[in-house]
Amino acid sequence: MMRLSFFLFIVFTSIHAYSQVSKGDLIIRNGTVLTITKGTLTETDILVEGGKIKAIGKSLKAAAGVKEIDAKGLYVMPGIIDAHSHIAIDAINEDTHPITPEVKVGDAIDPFDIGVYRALAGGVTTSHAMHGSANAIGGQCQTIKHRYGEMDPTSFIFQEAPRTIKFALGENPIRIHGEGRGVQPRTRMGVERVIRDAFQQGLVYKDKWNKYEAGKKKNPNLPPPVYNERYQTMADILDGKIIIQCHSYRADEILMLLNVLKDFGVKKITFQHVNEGFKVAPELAAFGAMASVFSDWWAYKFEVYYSTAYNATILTRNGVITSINSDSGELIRHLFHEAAKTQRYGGLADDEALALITINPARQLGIDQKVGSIEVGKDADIAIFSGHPLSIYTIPQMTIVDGLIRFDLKNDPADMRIYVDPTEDTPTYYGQEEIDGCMRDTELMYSHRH
Amino acid sequence: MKKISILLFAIFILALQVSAQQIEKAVYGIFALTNASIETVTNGRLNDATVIIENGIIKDVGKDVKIPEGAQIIDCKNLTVYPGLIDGGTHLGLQEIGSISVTHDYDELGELTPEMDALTAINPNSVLIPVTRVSGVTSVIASPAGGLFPGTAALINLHGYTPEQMFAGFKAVVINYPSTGKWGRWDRRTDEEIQKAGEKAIRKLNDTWARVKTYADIDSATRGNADYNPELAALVPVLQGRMTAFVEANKKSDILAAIKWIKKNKIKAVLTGVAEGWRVADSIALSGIPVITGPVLSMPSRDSDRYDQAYKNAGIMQKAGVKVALRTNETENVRNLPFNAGFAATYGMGKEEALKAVTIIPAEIFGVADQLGSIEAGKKANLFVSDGDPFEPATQIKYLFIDGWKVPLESRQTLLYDEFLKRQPGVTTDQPPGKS
Amino acid sequence: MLRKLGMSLSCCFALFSISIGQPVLDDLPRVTSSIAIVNVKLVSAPGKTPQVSTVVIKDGVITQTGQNISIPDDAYRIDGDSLFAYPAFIDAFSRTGIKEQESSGGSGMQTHPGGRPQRPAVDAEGNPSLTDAGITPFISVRSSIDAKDKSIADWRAQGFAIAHVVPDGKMIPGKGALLVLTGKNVDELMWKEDVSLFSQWSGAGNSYPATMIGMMAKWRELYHNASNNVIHEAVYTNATLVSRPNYNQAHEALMPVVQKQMPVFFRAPAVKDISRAMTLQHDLGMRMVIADAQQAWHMANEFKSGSIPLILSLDLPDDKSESKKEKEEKEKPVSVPPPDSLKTIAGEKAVQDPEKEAFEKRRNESLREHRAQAANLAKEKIPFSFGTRSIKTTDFNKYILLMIDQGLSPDQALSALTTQPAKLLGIEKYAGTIETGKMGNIILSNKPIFEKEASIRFMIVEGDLYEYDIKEKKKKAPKTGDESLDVIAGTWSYAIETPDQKREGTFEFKIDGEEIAGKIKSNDITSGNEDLENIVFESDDLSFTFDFEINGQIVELEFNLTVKDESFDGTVTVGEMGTFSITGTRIMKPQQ
Repeated sequence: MMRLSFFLFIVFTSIHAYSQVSKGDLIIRNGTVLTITKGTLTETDILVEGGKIKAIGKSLKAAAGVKEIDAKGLYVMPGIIDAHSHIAIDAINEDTHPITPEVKVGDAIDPFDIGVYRALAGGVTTSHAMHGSANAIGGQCQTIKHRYGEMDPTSFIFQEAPRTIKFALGENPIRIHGEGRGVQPRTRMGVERVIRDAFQQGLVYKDKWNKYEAGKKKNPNLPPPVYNERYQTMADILDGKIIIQCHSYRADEILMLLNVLKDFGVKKITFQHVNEGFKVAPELAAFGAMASVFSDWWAYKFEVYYSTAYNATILTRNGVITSINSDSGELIRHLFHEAAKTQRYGGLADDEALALITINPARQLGIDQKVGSIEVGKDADIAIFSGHPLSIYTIPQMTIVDGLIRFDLKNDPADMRIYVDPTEDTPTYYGQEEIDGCMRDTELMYSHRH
Repeated sequence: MKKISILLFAIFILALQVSAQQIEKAVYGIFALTNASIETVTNGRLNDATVIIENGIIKDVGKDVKIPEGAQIIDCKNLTVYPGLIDGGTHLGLQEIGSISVTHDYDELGELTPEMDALTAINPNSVLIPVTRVSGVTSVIASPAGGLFPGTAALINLHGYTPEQMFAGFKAVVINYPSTGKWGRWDRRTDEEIQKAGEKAIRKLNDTWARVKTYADIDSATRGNADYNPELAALVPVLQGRMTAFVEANKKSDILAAIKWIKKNKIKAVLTGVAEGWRVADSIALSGIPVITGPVLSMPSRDSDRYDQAYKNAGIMQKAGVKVALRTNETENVRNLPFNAGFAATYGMGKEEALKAVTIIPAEIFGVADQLGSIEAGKKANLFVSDGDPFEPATQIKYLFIDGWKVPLESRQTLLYDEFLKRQPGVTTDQPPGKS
Repeated sequence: MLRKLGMSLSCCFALFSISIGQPVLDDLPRVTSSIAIVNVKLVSAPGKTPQVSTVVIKDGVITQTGQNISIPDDAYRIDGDSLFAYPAFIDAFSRTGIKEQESSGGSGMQTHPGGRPQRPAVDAEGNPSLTDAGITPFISVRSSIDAKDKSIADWRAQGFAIAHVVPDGKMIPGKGALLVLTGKNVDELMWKEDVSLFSQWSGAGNSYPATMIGMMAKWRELYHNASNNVIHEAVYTNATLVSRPNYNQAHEALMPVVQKQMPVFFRAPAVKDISRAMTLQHDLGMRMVIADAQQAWHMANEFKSGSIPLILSLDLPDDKSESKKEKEEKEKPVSVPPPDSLKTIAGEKAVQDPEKEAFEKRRNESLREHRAQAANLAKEKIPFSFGTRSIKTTDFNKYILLMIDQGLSPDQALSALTTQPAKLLGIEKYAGTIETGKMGNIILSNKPIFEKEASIRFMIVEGDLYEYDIKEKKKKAPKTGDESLDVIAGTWSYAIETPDQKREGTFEFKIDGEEIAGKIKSNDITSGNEDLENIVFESDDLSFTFDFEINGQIVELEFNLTVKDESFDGTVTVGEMGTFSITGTRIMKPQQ
């Protein structure tokens, strides 16, 4: 009597689609517009409709009721882009295997991260949330827009951005896997070996599926091969569907990876950190590889001891498309200042320095058709500053993403947390001892930086 | 794009040829910096004036200054003379490479090691030192860290071949006032665990202090023949107010507790860190205790705090009447001190006060204001000449003097720039020079 | 105020069976398989107003309800005059019946000599066994159920008759089952095995997948391969010249999921957990239920269509600040006031701190939002069930009442505990209401069930009757000064007069704050357990229980003593054997 047959559940359909992006209309009046790609325009208006830049010019007409922003005496620049950060994600390193291309940090977006608001308050509208550097091939990264205030994690995704993936050379993968767990790689030779192996497995895997797809036409009973997201991702890299973003420091390891990529016919790569990029700048330029660097970080470990703050200048002068990134929740708040340091270290011109945090990172992330400069048709991602953004005395005034004001100095309450822990008495105090981005989630093993 | 870069290369080859491949050394002697703007810090700004440097000392400053015979004249037209910047807290000279612990000489084992003397471990030949000084930072506090009493910090000039040559006349015992906050985001201790650890450390601090008192009493009763006890002996000068203590406290409640402790024990102290000083600025001002705070370029200490709270911290304390000096708390990037000061200036402190916070104020706090911190006759010649505001990133430093030595503006980083800006050979497919 | 109210309710009821002829007792046979509840105020389903009715249950099934019905002669009659009858609760997401896990002291974390925790090496890092990876979809919850586990009786006493139970574990712990909460062994409890797959965001820690991103990737791969397996097996069955499919225990176990025969119950307390689970569902298309949700109001729109059913957690955040305030007040006199000269520095306490007020406001708002989750979802007409998996039995009433206080109607609460979970679990034909033909699962309470002073007098679970004697447990200790507890602290000798002999031994009571711990020592006791339980001391009355093993059977001893100075007297009830008198004296006080 008790053993009755079962009827479980009603109808299930899939409903959780990627959420709709909110977009706004507004007009910015009479600003000094630093377009980056088309020079500096004084006393100029920018008209924004549906989250896009509709027109740039003098005395533009806007529809009645459109929000007006008076930028007289202010500097208006494209929203800053950080090509290397770890904000807004809950997981950084799946450090349990040297090769984990199948994991995606986009699966762990944290829309509540106060770091996103702080980045907005520094004029940053887009960042590249990266997997960490524990593994020789880490996970896939996620380019995000700083739509702080949206609750749905998927609403942060920069939908037109191509896929990117983290590689890491040198000390970090060696320390985590070779020293920490006793598996390859323990040396830079080993790093090359495991990367080559992964590419080779990707080729084999691709071949297996190609044969299956072809064979299925003749024999519908052909069973499918075992699915492997790890090697499928390697195959996607080989097919040019994913841009490699490689954590690297030393000149030799950079050349090593260039050789590996040549052998496998892979072309799209940006080297990250790349502190010794300046030593192989001609090779990087000849390959068409790009470089995303720190303004001045060095000496935090041996592989960055022979660095120079002139790195960005040397790379730029050698024709390498270069950006300056943060890799830090602290630096991301003042990337405009980090870019300005290239004027001390090598004397880059204003537009060259600003390109390092706008159009160049956009190129590296494959989103330069959408963002990175103030041009008609591009997304209305805009940062407004009190003074020239490269001056130490400038203060960010307003940051706009898709035509919506996400930061406004004049309307900026102290406590900008979205989620408040109901069991917490007062907000927690955190000291300044930080484990920085790249090695987060690995602190159980080591607490090194970057 | 390639064409443009080739063109640019041609220009830069010229630049390269100018820089000769020889080791430039520091020079001592008589110098006249003429036609200069002078930011004296203590006596306003002078235009079209001269600074005379002789025997390591600023001999004269002013408009109508006699240039001594044999002086090397440096024309400073369109340039400005600034006193060398002073960083109130670093590990410079005590650490070479962050991840390699055998190069860390600031962190001795033990909770109670005030006798550890940072000056002993200063590496005058650290590659980090020239990288720092070429940005105008001429003196820093090199400080030990870790434990309750990590050791004794020293003020050093960033030039010299021995620690003694570098020593700038001030030492202070470092006390880490027990923290009741999380160290960082990775700190997974529960609130209860943190509280317990804090209470335990405070007991230890007070127990230690009681012993120092007993030791001092016995030492004076026995006319200096107390038992050998270097840890306690090192704290006696602090107990007796003859030596300054740097008391590190950052969280609001820790700052207040540290102030109470300092007042109760009547010691001569400087509060360091003071990240949440803005929350209790009036209490600090009332206590009269000076503060060394920084880095300015740091994160707010709580998620609920304004994004720019750390930028504003120094200014809020200074406006409340606290004597505020700045520090980077850095090692390899102490060169960012002027930028830290620039952010403090922008976020409430103002240019003038921010400049003081990295020159005369730290000199005063360290009791060396007769020697450092301003451009005045009779002071040590620690100064630099720049083509503009040193807080502005675009500004270039043109001349640098430390302890009267004219120091070359060269570091490994500039040498790498010189070598690699236009590499020869370039890519392997490049034509060797002269073969086309 | 809310809290106080919760407290008085959480003073749970001491549960003692009384021999009145029919209720289930371990060692006595059931008299009849028929029960009649006569003239009870019947709420037959959520939303119905109480109607005086009679309900007849025969062989576990409700055979008649209504007025003027003839009561069968073999029925055991319960006089319902002063009682309310409700359909018994269905727990949509539960761990009832699962043995309490031993404390996970050996979590595998080792400490480096330097003090930093270090991960031990893994044999096959990145490629761990399925068990190490926490991927065990092939495990059925049945293997971890203990029919004698206390939680079954405890949740039954709270009104639950049916529970959907899922196993403990990591990312994919295994398959869930439906239990009916009455029975002597697992088969009697078990209604249906393998009704669901349970998954949660709980990484393998030491090996792959350790993080959120690893788990997402692993789920995708498992799902794809299970799908391929389905294809491969079909081909293998229907065609020749096909190689045998690789056998993988996890892929095999997931095949009913990819074939959409088995839903995945995804434990997703926080809003991000929910969103990530939904992303998986969106990408892979499995049938999914979001379970144990504590922040679902943020995702309300996603649940409107009802295509992803929702189970709310009954857990609520506690207001820490209140308990802290109490503690501070208690500790206040201990702290030494600062010397005068320093008063101004520390004196800001006197001044109102606007920052602190702002924090408090936000925190209270957050507390309110959590408590109002159910009410707000109900307002938006989003159907949901409740699950008990993340709460203690003693918090059930307290939290339900907090939710009702925030605007959840008692009817909505009742439906989330009856008809909604019945529908969700596909058992609405059999359970969830009191109607002819449904399973005989009925709560009989002295007042409307979600009223503050309501308590359950009888539970009928599939025709098995349980009766509860209501004895309000007093708060363990008086509020001020703990001297009165010292009255019992120390070691006491006792003597029990039983017909055949005098049994002697000692009790030892230790006081720790408001907690009383007790042990019994006697030559009669051969089992390992010495701990006294349910110790309550108020004015002079001391009561406690002790589980005593006789010939492999557990017998509960219930002590009720009156303490006077250094001696006590009272009674001890030994299971169903009877009640005997007991006396004793204090032989040792605790050392000061």
